[in-house]
Amino acid sequence: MSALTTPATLVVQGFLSYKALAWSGIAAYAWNRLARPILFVTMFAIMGRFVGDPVAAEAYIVGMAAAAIPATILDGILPSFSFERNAATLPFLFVSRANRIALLWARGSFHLVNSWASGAISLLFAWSVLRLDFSRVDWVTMATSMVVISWSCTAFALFAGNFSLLLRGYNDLSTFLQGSMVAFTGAVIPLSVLPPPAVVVGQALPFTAGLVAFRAAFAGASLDMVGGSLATEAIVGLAYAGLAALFFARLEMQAKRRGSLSWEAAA
Amino acid sequence: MTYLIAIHGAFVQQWKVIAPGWSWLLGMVANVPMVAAFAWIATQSDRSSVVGYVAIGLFLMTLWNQSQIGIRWSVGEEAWMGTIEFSLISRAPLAVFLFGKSLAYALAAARPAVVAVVAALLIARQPPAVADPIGLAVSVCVAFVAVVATGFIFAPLNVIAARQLDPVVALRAFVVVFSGFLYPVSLLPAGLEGFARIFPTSWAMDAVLIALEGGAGEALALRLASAVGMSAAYFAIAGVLFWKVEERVRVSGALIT
Repeated sequence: MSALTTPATLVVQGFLSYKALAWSGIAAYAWNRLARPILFVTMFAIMGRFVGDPVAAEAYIVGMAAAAIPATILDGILPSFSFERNAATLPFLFVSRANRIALLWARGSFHLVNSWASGAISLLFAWSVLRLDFSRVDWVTMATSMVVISWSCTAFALFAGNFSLLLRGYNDLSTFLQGSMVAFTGAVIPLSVLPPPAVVVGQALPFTAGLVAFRAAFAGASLDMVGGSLATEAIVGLAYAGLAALFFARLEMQAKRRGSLSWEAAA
Repeated sequence: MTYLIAIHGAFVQQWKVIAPGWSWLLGMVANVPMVAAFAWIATQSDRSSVVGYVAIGLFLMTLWNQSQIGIRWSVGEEAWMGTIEFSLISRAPLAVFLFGKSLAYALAAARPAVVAVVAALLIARQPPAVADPIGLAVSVCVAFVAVVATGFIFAPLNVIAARQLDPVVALRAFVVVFSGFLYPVSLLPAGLEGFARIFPTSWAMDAVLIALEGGAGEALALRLASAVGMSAAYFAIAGVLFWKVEERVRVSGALIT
């Protein structure tokens, strides 16, 4: 590990990256990372009541509380990539000697921690306002599943962030991916009723396996009972971490050779 | 006539910014996964009116979401790049110039909104049952006006917010939850329904549900009248806000306090 990637440097790098590319003030933080996840949980809970199925409504609440983790991570990391390009700071990054893997993970680190806050506030709201039953929860399993989900989703967002660089924007991509995390992972629609191609998509996404463990925590499942799901989630995350680094390296190579990242220049 | 030229100019300029590249394709399908989740939940109901209600609500919600975020980015990006000043020093009123831009975004947003409603109906695999087709047609039109009114009141805020992107973006999700697009606001937790009633869309969507289920004509008329009245009030307030914002921007030269 070079001097550029000591743990202290990683923290400073993560902090600076977060402050420059993601921080918009305490009000925006409170809204985007704390209030918005609560609104989403509320929305799905009421949808459950509207269709007259209170049991399903509980399942939606749990699924959407967990979905706050990928939503916060995607919503934070994808803009940081496109802002980097639109603010014309990307060339400075490309000519720096910084370790690229450390650079990517430093960028994701603060968003990863943020996602725990989003998940926790969603669960707190679900307990205090929506009266979700927490009596059988295994807290160790829940906490571990949140950590593993946040790690794999950060890896995924770092991979998807490369597309934000290419597209110069993130809004539609972020909407699409956040929606996919809700529709194809079992957060709302059970995997058993999804058509086979959608199940394949879901299994290729992070969060799907981790959500199984998260839900099991509500039924009191211990850590060893959900070990398989968490291991799968971690492996999916590892795969995306590798892909993120390779994709970013490829883009950097392209940019240095062509002097542009635009698709038009590649044609 | 002068205003029409200004609206046309703003519309064409904005449309050209939206149109190029392949990004619009992603914009068309961006909402589909979330729409699929909402539509699937709707199919779990025994009431056939729920699918129709959610399908109409998804159309309006997507239209609202996409057009709001679009005009927000447009003003924000122009503020960042320093080109908004050229629009602001033109002789056309601010409301006219923003109307042209909003029109372009609304037209662009209609595409993903149609995709959303088609996706919802495909997932539902059944045409929604409609008890009162004429009442429904009127209700949908009023709901559309309510969406426009709700959007219009935010337009001056977009200019004030200028380089600060988050506050207005945040309001967007807030409105979606309390608008009644996906469920009648009477189902909101106690105390929140009263707040939701300040949005004209909540009344209009109630009317949509009554028309779908064939409820009493008086109840339908009351909801429609409330939605129209509130929309008119929104337009009036937006007019005052535009006047205030314009005065501040042109006199003080400052977008942000």
